[in-house]
Amino acid sequence: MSGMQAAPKRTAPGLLRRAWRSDLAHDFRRSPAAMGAALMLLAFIVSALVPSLVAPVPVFDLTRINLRDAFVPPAWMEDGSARFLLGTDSQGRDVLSAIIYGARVSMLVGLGSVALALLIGVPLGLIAGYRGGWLDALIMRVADVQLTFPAILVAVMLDGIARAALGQTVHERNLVPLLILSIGLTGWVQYARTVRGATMVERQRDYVAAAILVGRGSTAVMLRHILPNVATPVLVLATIHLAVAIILEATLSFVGLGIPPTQPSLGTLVRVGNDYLLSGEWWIAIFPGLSLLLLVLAVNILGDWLRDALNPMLQ
Amino acid sequence: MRNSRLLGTGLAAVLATALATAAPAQTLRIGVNADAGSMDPQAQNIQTTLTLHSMVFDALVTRDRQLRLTPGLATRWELTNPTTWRFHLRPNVRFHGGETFGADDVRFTIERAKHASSQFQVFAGSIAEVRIVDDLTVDIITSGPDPLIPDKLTYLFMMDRGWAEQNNVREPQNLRTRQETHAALNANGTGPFILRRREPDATTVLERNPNYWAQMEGNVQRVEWRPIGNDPTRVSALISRELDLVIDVPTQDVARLQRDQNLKVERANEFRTIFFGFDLHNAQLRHGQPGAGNPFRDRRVREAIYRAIDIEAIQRNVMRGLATPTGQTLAPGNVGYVAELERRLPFDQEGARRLLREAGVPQGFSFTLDCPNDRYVNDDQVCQAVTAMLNQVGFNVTLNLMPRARYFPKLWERDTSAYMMGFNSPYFDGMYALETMHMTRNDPEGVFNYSLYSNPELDRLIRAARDETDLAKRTGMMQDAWRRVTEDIIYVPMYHQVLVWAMRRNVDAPLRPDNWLEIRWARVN
Repeated sequence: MSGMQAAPKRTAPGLLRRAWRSDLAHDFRRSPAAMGAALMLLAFIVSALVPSLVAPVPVFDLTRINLRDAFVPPAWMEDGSARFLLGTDSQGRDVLSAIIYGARVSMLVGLGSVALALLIGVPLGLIAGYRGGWLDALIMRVADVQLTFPAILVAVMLDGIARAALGQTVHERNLVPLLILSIGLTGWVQYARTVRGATMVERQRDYVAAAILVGRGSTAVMLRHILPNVATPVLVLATIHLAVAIILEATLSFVGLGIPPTQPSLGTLVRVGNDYLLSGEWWIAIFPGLSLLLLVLAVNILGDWLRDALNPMLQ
Repeated sequence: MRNSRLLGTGLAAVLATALATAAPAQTLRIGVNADAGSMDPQAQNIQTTLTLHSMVFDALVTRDRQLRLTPGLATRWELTNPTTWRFHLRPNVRFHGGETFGADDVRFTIERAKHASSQFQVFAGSIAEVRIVDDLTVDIITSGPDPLIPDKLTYLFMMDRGWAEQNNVREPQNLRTRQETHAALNANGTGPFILRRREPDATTVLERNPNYWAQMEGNVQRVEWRPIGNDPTRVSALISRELDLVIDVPTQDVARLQRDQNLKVERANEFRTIFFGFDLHNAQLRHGQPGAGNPFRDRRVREAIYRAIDIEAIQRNVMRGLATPTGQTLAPGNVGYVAELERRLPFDQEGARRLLREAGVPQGFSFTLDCPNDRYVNDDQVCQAVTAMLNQVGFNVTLNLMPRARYFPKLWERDTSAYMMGFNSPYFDGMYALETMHMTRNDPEGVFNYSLYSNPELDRLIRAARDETDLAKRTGMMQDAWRRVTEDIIYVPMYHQVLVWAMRRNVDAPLRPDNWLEIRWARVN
């Protein structure tokens, strides 16, 4: 009898209202953890979009830093300064601003590599699941081989190859795309496997048979009919993968294979600050580390909640 | 009852054996921030490398605790005429492989050091010929009078000719072309320690040579040489007893280590001065703004760089007081040193901008500054700070940090427009720096002149001082030369390094101001 409801108007506020009343939003409103995580992520996203408005100092403008400000502790400590809320690093850069710019790089790499993994993994999974046969076998064997390499190893390998092939200078100028490439290339397998499994199930359904009977081409069937129905698990996977990708980037940067200190990501900041952990200037490493933790935690909580909320079996 | 006694005796026996094997055989585990680039004694002239080699090899002449020359593989030497040094060799010395050391090996090593791929040409360059008088006597004939031959020979570690020929390493390994040879990983010396295991960048294990020719003051039986590039990891390894001695302590951790009851921290003024050099030759900078020419050739530009550097901030915040700012590139204690050149030009950003305007580059210009990140104390931090300071007066500096394994080959190729350098004079004589860093390049003259600076008048002055046999007059001439190069700001001086070693309480390792760990003096108690 739900068909009796009047179709809501397709205006922006109307859409918002409809979204707010949806099951998902209802679930969201009842989960304080998800709301907190979303708020946190929102803060990260806003500061990544307009860092110049949020950060107290444009930290990578060399004309604006002064070595005499080096190693100032956080503002609430003795010798702290109100100018530097979270203190300064070894060169006199504001740690808070460095974190804001650093998180931006981390999120850029994270989102980029998830997008790349989606672009590779989803079509391959669709094809494998829909066509079956030798194509399926081929794609899945390639995926199996890929799975035997730990993600970090592939990233290190790709980095080494790129370093040798491109030369030092070109390599250093293209570190962000290269990192996206190396992290993205290791992530596609999960998508391919998930989509393949879901596609094989959907393929048996009547609506797919109907679409084929009407004479739609297989590309159209895959994209228009199957894809929307397998999108839910992919969305959940992508959220969790985002957290993994951010951590992977931080790991690579921490061991010195990622972003250099001139345009640091959160991982680079932790690496640089690591030199001063024993000497008492803990804030240089701890705050970027904490931000990394918060960012990944927020993404993970949202991913978890999304998985539960979208899976009726769990409710 | 009997059974339990038996058990007790058995336990005691087991315990005794266990204790016997666990009893430390005086192992000294040394932490360094970067490995020696090779075991070939004529391939790499870097202090860390020399330190490791001096454990495995011997030179004809060595130094005592007061840094005076003292017999090594030569028992005595004399000047038989102004250009001939006669060296009497120590009898019955054997290489680790069992071969006898003799005059033949001396000639072989010195000729090897003169080869194009050797980095020790500067020590052998004045030697025209090595004549074998008999098995244990050699005449070293120089092309002109050279009073420093015994000093220079402290840097030439003797190789076994037979071993070198058998293993096809007659010529030194060429690090410029990344050559790999047998001698890079193996060594056959006469030194107090025998190379047992060599894993580059991981561990090098040495064991005491039971047949060493000298009585050693030290009691170390085994050396583990452990390069650990990451500063906190190296320091943590010392604190957690994985290392016994660290010879390049990060300045930020000195205070923390001093508070540790199990450790002692020792310091000395090192004979090493840090400074910046610039391309003073090319008409167009290789790594600079296209079309801007080479402004570094203008003294005013170099002075602007000098005045733009806030040395006090660097000394306090980067070096944590473990540096002495200086106005020259020669450390105190060297012959030819002039004390009044220590005074620096003041930090003066306005003055720097004015000088740039006068030099016709009011907007500054862009260039790349090359710096190592594992060679000198806090090298990367100092370069980052200087980069920011130069950008503040109008330069547009791009910093290029790299490990020493990439850095030095770049300098050898003169493929740099601006670079950081730390220099010490290997025999406490200012002539070495004048000759190798300031003269027009004609190896070994100007071999470390990475700026490609060339001034025939200065060359004449340095040559005259070098050939002067009256020591007082020679010193005066050298001082004149130092005044001149300081006034011309051929290099922009920074500071003299303070050397800091940290070791466990039971380790006794005397510091040499040239940062040379003399293993024959080291004790583990």
